[in-house]
Amino acid sequence: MKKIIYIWFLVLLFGCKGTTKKEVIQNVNFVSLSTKKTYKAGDAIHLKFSYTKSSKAVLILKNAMGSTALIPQVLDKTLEFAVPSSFNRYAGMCHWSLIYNQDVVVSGDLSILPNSSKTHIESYLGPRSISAGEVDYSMMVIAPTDGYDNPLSAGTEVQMKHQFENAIQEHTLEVKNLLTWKNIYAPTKSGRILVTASCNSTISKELTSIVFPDKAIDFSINYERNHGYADGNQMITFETSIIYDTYGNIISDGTLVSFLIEDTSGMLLRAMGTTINGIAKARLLHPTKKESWKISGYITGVAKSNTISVSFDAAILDYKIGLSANKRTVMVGPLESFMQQIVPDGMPISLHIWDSENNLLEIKQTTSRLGMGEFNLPPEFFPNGTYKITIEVSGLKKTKKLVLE
Amino acid sequence: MKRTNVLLILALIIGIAFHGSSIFFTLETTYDALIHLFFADHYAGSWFEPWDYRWYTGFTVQAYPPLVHQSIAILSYIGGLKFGMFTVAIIGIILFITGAYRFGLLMTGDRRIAGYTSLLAVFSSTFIETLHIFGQLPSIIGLSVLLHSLPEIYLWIKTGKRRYLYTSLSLIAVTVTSHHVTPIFGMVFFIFPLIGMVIMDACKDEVKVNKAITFKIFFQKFKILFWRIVSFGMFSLVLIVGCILPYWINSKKNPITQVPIPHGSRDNFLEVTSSGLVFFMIPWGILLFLIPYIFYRYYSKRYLFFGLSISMLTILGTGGTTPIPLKILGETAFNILTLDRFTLWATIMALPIFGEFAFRMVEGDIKENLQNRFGRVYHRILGGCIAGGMLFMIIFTMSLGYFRPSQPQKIKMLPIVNFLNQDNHDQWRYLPLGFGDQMAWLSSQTNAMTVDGNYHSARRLPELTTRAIERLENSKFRGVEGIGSLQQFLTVPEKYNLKYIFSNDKFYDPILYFCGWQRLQQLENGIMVWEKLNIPPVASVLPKQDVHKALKIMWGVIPLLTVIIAFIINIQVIWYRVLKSRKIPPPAYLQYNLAFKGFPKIMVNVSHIWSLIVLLCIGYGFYLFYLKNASQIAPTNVINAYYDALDFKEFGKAHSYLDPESEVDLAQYMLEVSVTDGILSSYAKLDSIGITLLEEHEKSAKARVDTRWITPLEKVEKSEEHTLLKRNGNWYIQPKSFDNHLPPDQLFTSNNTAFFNHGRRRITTQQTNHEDVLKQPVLEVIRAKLVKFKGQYSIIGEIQNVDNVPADVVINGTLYNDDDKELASYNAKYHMKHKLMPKETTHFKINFEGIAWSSTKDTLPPTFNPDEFTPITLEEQPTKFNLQCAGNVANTDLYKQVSLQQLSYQEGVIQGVLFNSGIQEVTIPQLLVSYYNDKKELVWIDHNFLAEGVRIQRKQYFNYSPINTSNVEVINTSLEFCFVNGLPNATIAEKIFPNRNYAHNEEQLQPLKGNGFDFIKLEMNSYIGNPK
Repeated sequence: MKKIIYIWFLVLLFGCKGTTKKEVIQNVNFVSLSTKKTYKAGDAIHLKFSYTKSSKAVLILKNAMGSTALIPQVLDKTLEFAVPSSFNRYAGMCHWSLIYNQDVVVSGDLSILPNSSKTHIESYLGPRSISAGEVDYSMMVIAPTDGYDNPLSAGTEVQMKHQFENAIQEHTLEVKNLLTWKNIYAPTKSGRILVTASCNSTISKELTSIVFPDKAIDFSINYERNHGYADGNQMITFETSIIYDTYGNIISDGTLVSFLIEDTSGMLLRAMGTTINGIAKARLLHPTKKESWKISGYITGVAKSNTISVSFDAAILDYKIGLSANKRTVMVGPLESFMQQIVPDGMPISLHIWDSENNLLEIKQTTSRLGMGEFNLPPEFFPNGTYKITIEVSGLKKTKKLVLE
Repeated sequence: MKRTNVLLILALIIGIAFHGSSIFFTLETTYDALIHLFFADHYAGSWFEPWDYRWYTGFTVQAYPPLVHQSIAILSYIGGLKFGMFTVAIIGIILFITGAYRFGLLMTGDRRIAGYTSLLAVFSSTFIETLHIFGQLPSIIGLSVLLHSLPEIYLWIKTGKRRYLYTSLSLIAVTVTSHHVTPIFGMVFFIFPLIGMVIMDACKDEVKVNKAITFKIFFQKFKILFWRIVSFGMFSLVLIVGCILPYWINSKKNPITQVPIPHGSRDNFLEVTSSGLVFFMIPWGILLFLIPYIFYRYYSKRYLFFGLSISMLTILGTGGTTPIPLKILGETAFNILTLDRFTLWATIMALPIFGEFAFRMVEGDIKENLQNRFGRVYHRILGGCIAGGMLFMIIFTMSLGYFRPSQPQKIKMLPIVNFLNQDNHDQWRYLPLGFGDQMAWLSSQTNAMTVDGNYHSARRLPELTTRAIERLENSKFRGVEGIGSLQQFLTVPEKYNLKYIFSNDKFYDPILYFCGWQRLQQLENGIMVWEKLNIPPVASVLPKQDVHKALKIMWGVIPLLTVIIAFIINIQVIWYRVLKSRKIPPPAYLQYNLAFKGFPKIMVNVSHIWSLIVLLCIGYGFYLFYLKNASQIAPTNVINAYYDALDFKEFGKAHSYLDPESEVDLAQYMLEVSVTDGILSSYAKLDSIGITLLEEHEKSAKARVDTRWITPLEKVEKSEEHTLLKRNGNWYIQPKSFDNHLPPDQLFTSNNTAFFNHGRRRITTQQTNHEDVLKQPVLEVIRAKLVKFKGQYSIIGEIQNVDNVPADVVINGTLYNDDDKELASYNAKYHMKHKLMPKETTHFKINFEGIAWSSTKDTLPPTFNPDEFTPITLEEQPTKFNLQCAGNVANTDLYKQVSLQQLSYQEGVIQGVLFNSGIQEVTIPQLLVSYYNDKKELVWIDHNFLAEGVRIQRKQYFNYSPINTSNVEVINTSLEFCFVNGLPNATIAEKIFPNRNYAHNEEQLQPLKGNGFDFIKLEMNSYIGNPK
């Protein structure tokens, strides 16, 4: 008895499942009427099916961009699906399947090809600047597309041209993996390369790559000055020869050339110039005392010039030291230059003053004005007594004993 | 029925006419008004969204009670933001005057005295200062509404009628939503004494005479009224918490981590007299003379609790003058609160008593007393003096902003707003410099974001919260610390997507240049735009701290709702009261007015003595002021005066301190001084001056002057000797001789390669065409190494622009430990030349400053000090480094025509001359000094900014003492992790720049034996202040 109750219980439990309303498929029949499998992008596509009994079917479309479901236009005995533009313009495989009652009844594929009646060209060139020689290159990348932005099929021919000076070179390339590309190697001359491409009689815009000169080669330098005297006022100009690269191009404007000047005491002075048309110039003031300079120019890491020597003769050979009536003002000068003219203003003059026990008290500095320099020794700071002073002008030192009363 | 109070009407008319018209000239230049305007703009744009991205890389407006801002926002829909602001200000003025009237009426129970109170409130210097100088609109509205609520609270406790509980609570709610501090401290300082007064009045009702009130009776009455007091207290607590609940939640969630920012109200007013003036003298104003009377009245039995309260407020308002406020408030509260508000409350509290005094002085017993004792004329003179004093304080306070502007000149924002809107410039953050509080006005006009902001309690970036600076924008006023903080932002702007800087203060220009920024253009309004290359734009999705929707709705709805409710509840009574449409019984407090008969003689005497003391103090202050300004009494005075004059560029004055017999006339002096450009004369602020008298004689002296200057770049210490002479009792400085050097050429030519980059050639709203994007110039790292020196880690090295176009160079270094854990990342600041011509090299050094380290807590030094460094723990030892170098095509700041000449090395000092052979005046020359050892290996890099500029075809002498580099510890010299424009350095160098000749670098080294080095190299970098 228990078993029977148990069985009844189970029957009640599982027997209550609702019946599915699934219609029997055998009675419904769909047949595809469209035989065309290949279309051009943008062509109108209508998929037709004949049906029996029920017309409640939907068409699922899938392509690389996504999927959609279409509801048919029901005609007498046929169902017609119009593929929307978002699908028929997109080149590639398009898979369709007709769904009836959650089951795929018929399915198939459409192959949509790029529509070459209208072609666009996308072209990229980079880098935009390269250096002359055999190593560097710009790469031209061309992606021809149809009017619906589908890349053209593999094997489509693309003409590419590039011009440098008088030479125009032409290449025929083929689209592969959606695009085509070509390396344009730099010529040995600097200048600019213009590049263009065409496909299916569509032409691209003009693209440019600048060819900069290659690395500089060693060069020579020279100098120019008004006179050879160390007056601390005139300027000396250092100038390079025209600097070329390995291939005979003048190096790029703005290249920095450092001039390194070694003076008599071994100190390295420095002036910089940037090139214009291959020539760099830099200026320095004449020294204030007899000097001999050794100069070389550098484009660091690349090129170096010869070393030249320049010497300066002392402009001031002698000068006088005077004292005011109360001896409290030391007057230096007149400072005479190489033609016995007054030296240009600004010649540095220094005074060291020691007391009678040879302790350095102070270093005073001034510059000449109309050939004269003055130092004041006020009694507040220099009480009466004996002092030793040393004056230095243009490397000439003079020592004097000074008694202040 | 009583007549309409004429004095109140008069006060309202004068108040609205006077304040209402003058706010148009003052409010926009106040400290706070524009901040509130910015908040209002936020609400006008997104009412319910509390997050604003425009300041501090995002902050929440729930950090400030919103009522005033939302009111301005609502009104801005009618006539714009400024219309809203001025309307709210006028409403504030009306509320304040009527509030003062009602407070006066409550306290004195006399309509006439209340009328006087309202009239005096109009002219009170504390109100003028709060409105016209500080612009604290929420504070004014909060306080005024609080004053309005006081009579209602009194009536509730006294009569127990529910109506008054509702009215008082409705007004408290409005106070809370407009200003959070006012009701909290208002509870303590206004409402508690008020409760005390109610109980006193209740006692008096029972015993009829004040004298008969004993503590016992008082306690009994307190017990009777206890539940009314408690119910009011509880309900208002609920309102204080509930009305601005999102504020409290936000404060809990984002506690203020800001280190205390110095505020003048915390100064010792005797030491910092300017703070004493602004935060003590002006608010108290004429009341200073009446302090004995105020305390005499407030310590009478009825007002006893007000007496205690006002004493407390007065003491707290003295800031750091006495140690008491610090002890009462505790360290934290003392450093967060601005103590001027206590003085504000004290002076507002004193108003009714001042009104009473005025009444008694004009038509009461004081008048009688004075006339009887000193005669009619004396009374009139005294009255005239008080009135005159008040008028003086009004004019003085109102004109303070005119004579000592707290803000830079008004800036036309339109060109900046247009700049930010064009060409996607708002895709990056910007930073205004030298804008003052007008930066808030700029922010409210644009959607572009800035890293700075003007409400420092809402800051989140540790770079800002750990610095005691108010804004980056005015960092120069915080000395070395402020500049240090600004430099951190300028050095690693990538971190904040900071690309544009609007500079209204040329003080900051040198640091911008030396940090690698470049001038873009000068806008029509004179603002210079600086830009930094290689900055990525702000991400399109930015993080924010979201809050629950309920809180957003509360925040958006409750504040204005409180106003509407308060309006509905209170309008009826006001309607009856003002229009006299219905007779209403006089409020309970009116029965406690006093008759004022027989002013005590002793008070007259005390007041006179007190006034005398105050006058003496003021006189003494003026005397000290004179002494300090008597500039030629002593040698030190004249030096101080001379440097002061130089600091403020008062050259005429400076010249007057020079020895008149030295035959340097003013024209000559001006000519000589005005041609000296350079960091000290154009970009420095004198920080401190130390004078040592080397010799002092009767008529002459010699002094060494050690000055410390704050410059945008670094602290500059300068030592100079001056000779001083005494002539006719005055001390003078002997002028220094000037360089007489004359350039040889009157007219000369200079040829240079100049560059121009179009930017976008095609005008498009789309992204820049790829043809218009230039290739990044190729750089090569020649050498780089990680070194440790004086406990500080640095990456030093040398880099070259190996391309054919000029490059702007950004170098970012990152440190790793043995476990490849990233420890710190920073950029090269001014230890490099940022602009390199083709084939130019520069040495560089990256110092890892505070914010560079990933755990800022451990490593951050408490104050910015270039010489101070917190060494990190041993496990965190950096052992490897990574260098990311980026080049971008540069076309500005490419001046290279400074030569190095007349070099000598004597007694450990390198002396030399910089000669400018080109046609641009170099404002700040910089020397980069690199040290090499005997194997010609790089050891260290140092820099030196020359204090004076180099004019065209002129010389500039310099001295440089090489440092001891023997303790430099080299940790890593591998170039393995060096990258240029994202590509490995080695391969790119091999391709673009093969067969490098390393001998060239070595040949350019200057043999110079020193401590720890055998060679050095000097490189020049020049900042041109005014490019021609």
